[in-house]
Amino acid sequence: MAACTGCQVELRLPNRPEFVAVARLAVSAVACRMNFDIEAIEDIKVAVGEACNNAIEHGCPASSGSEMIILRCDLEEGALAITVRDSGDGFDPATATRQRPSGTVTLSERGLGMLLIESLMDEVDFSSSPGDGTQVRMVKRLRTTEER
Amino acid sequence: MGNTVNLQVHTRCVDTQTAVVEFEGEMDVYTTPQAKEAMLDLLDKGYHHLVVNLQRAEYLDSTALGMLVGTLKRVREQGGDLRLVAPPPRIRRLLEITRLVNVFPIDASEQEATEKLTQEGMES
Repeated sequence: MAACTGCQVELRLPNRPEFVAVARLAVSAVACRMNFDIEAIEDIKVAVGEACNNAIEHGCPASSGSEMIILRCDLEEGALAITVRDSGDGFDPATATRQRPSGTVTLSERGLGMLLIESLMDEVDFSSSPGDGTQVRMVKRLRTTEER
Repeated sequence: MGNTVNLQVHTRCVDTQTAVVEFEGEMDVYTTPQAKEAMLDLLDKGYHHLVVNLQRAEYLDSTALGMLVGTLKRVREQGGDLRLVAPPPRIRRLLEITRLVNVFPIDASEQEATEKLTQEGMES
């Protein structure tokens, strides 16, 4: 795996629902190559799927001509950093709808995606600026044998 | 790209109010509309007691969770209920993270869920 450290994998995907599964498959293959365990790979797949869902919801409409999701994997020492970027109008992560992991459960159909991303990944950063799209950077650290 | 490759939806009616919906495969932003259509079709036909069998569901995202929450709200408005059956450990974990494990009744088997819903139907 050490030979892979420092490598980057970048994928440009159409901003359409049928390509979210492609993003999940690609990132799970990268995580597998880094020797993540199956549970961590499943966490990464869900988080990447949710980030792509957000990009589809908030990114450019498919008719705009710039409807791409850019998925980048940075293979770092002991961690996989994944960035999902869209070219939409952006949104304010601080005020975005999200469910809270504790407290009263409300029957809300929205906000579950961000909660899943934040729960499944070790580090999550949202950044967004008007006219420059939204970027979600997520990091999953490799667990040592003792931690498993 | 047909979405039937990733998800298969099987429905069957138990009685005049109760139906079983079984999802097999991946439920995500692409395939969930197909699942939602099947659920709404059952609601339109008067089935307000739904058993959702997740035993063969391989993947489920927030779109699918949102669809299930929306359906649960609809059936409860009609005096019905929705019970989940045998979610695999991965999906159960997502239900726990989102605390939806406290919202959806979950049963180990389709028979158990059906019996409870049939009983609820008789009592209502």
